[in-house]
Amino acid sequence: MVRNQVQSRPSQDASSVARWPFGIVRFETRRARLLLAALLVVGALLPSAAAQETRIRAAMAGSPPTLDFVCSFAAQARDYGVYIYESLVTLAQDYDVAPQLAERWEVSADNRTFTFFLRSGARFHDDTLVTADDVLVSFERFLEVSPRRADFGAVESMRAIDDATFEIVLSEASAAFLPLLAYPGPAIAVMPADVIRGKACGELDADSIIGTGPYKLVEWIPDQHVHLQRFDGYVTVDEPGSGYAGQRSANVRDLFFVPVPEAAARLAGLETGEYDYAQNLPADSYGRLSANPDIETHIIKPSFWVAIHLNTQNGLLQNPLLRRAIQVGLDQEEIMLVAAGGPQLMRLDCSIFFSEQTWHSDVCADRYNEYDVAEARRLMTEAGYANEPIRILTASDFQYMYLAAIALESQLSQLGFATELQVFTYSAMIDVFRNRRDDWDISYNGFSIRTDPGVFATVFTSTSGYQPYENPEVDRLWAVGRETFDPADRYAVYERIQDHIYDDVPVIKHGDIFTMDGARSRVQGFEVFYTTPRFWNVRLSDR
Amino acid sequence: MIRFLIERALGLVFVMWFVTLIAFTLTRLAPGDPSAAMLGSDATPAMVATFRAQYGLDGPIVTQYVVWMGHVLRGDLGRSINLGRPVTTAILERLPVTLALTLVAFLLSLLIGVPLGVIAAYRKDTVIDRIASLIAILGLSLPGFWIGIYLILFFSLRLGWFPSGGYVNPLLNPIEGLRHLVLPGLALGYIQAALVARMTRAAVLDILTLPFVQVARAKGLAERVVVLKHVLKNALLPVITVSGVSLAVLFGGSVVIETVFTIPGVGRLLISAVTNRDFPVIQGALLVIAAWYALVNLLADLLYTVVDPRIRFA
Repeated sequence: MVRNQVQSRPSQDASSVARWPFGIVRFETRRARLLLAALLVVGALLPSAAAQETRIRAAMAGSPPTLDFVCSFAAQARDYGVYIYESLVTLAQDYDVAPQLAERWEVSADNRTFTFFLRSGARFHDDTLVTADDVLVSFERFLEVSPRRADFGAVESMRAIDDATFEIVLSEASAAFLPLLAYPGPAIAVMPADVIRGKACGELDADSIIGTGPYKLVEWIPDQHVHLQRFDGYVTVDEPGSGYAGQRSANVRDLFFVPVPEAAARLAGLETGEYDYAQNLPADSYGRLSANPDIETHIIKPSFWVAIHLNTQNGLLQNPLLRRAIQVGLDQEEIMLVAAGGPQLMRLDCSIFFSEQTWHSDVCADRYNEYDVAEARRLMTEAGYANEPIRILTASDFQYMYLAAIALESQLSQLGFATELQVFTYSAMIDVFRNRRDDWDISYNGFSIRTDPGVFATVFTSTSGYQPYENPEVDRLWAVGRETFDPADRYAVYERIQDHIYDDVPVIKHGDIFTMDGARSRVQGFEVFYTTPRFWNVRLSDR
Repeated sequence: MIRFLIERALGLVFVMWFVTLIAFTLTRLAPGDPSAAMLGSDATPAMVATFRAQYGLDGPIVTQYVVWMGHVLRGDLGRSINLGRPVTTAILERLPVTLALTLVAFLLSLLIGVPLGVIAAYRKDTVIDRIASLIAILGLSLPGFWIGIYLILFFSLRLGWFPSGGYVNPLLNPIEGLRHLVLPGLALGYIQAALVARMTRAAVLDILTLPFVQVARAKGLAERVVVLKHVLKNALLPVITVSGVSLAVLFGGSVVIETVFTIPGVGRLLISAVTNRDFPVIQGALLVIAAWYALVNLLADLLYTVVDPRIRFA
């Protein structure tokens, strides 16, 4: 008896498929099954063409800590919040105040009472109409839970006059009030009163993330994606789009924001087409991306400005002559080229306000980027510099800071300074900056304030606590600025402040740095504003 | 057996307590605290003081530890400062992702390592053996993130076969889910595959010299049967040892790979928490990883008795 004889099956006919009842195909041979499996796999691998046309996948640099917009300073919260929520007023392209949920407003003669008239027909994502009571409860919640509530310490009272009219009364007049109201970091997002009444930060569930913006929240899976979908009930403003204001048409139905912390991963995903948009890409990829016909680069201008704090109250740089020596001896262009990674991602400008802002001034131009090595050395001699090391703090996890610090150290050495570069993570650097004031002379920072100049008061006043700078005249001018309502007079006040800063040298600005985003060419009509990618008013082509 | 389990359980408790001490102390020894990361350089002292009081960071360190341990013993790992959500929730959301990646990496390490080791042993001192050994040595020498980056460059950017990163739930979309896990699984599992290959090769070489293998061949059994039924089964014990350690290491090693491939797992959560000085999340994630190590090692020990009936627990 032959063992292991396999019972052979009837020979197959030429066809590799047979049919079961109802026309169901049965794949008989191994080859046919493999072919079917391959077809299924290939079919599954091909992205759905229909899905591509109605959605944008954007690779974002960070994850939102919360979608309860008012509860976070984080830029990531703002990046998503501007789609979901609206406030009474917002920022236009020139960073001036523009209407949003309030179509117009009136200010009393004493500049203390603001009356807002709500846009008619505005609806929440749950399809209820927006009323002044919703605005009132939203403001009350903001003043109770938001980390930014101190900006509105002058609010004395608020009330809903009727369904479409909302009033705020300040305890003292402030020219900064409307700009602070418009500032989106975080803005006073208007939400349904019934949903948010009595709720602290962290108590709103996903179903409660309801705003009036052109997009509504569909799903948020932390670290995976935020899925927003067009809100069909949104009534866009009949004004040209400008900044976060004006027309906001949600032409693309679905937006998927995917947090991708690694810049290289965002870049790779953009190039392979996994993402339609990628935020904050490496500067050295600019040439490669510009040469790619399927990708468009978008320079985010302005982004922030790079500066060094000089320790005016402890150590070597208490001496104003040495601070002036550093100021006059630096080649800012070289430092900025190193920090930014290319000329298209930087701008030399002395003002503490961006050139896109109303408050920009050239009053400081004569004390910026002088690069006068001889004068610097003369000042060092006059100051009696005895080769003590200048201790420079920088952060390794912010590449522009780290690179700028290396360039600065090199230049200071060439001027004749002894230097000591101390590299920390950002958190550790801040810890040393704040709490070990005897251990540093220069510390890096980046500023991105593009709202009311009064916000800078937290940085350049003697009462700020951590910033080692005291000038009673500057303190006085900040207060004057808050109380000055004529735009020209206010401009003059802030120009004088900048003049003082450049005389006292508590900080030295290197320059403006830009960031670079990228988009697949199928995303059409995209324009940059602030640091938030705006996908309203864009369209998708077939490419 | 019962006594063994009790002893291991007591040991586990001690180990976990020690981990809590390490996790708590190390996070606070590093310069910078959550207020620095969350509030930045422009915060006033009043803002910092309010923040620290709000999150219980202003008390003596011993008090902070006792309070935190009290919550941990009740199963509460605290609340994330950065996310504003319970740490337990944040970890549980991401745990399946890391487990999926770990499992794929583990399976790949076995699928690559065991055959490679068997082939190398059977073709000892031949070119095939040299090549297999070289592959194993490279796996032990090259860092996982480096392998990951080059996998992305070649298979994703150049060939377009696989996505460059991201995660799709394999339970909801098996094909896309597996597509997203192949490259990170390879990058994570390759190093362990090298270990498994070398261990398998050594074990198989030992077993091949034993008399029962010659008897099996003399009986006329196909070489495939000799390998799979006799040699490999006996060579498995040391392989299980390595695999158990591998499974534990893979979980912890996912930290870097999740970052390279943008996978929203526990590892990436931990990296983000370290950057933001989110103490509760750092502490909670370290506890979870340590617990995983301890449990997997225990399971590996228990598995010995299944594979080798001669092994009994004293």
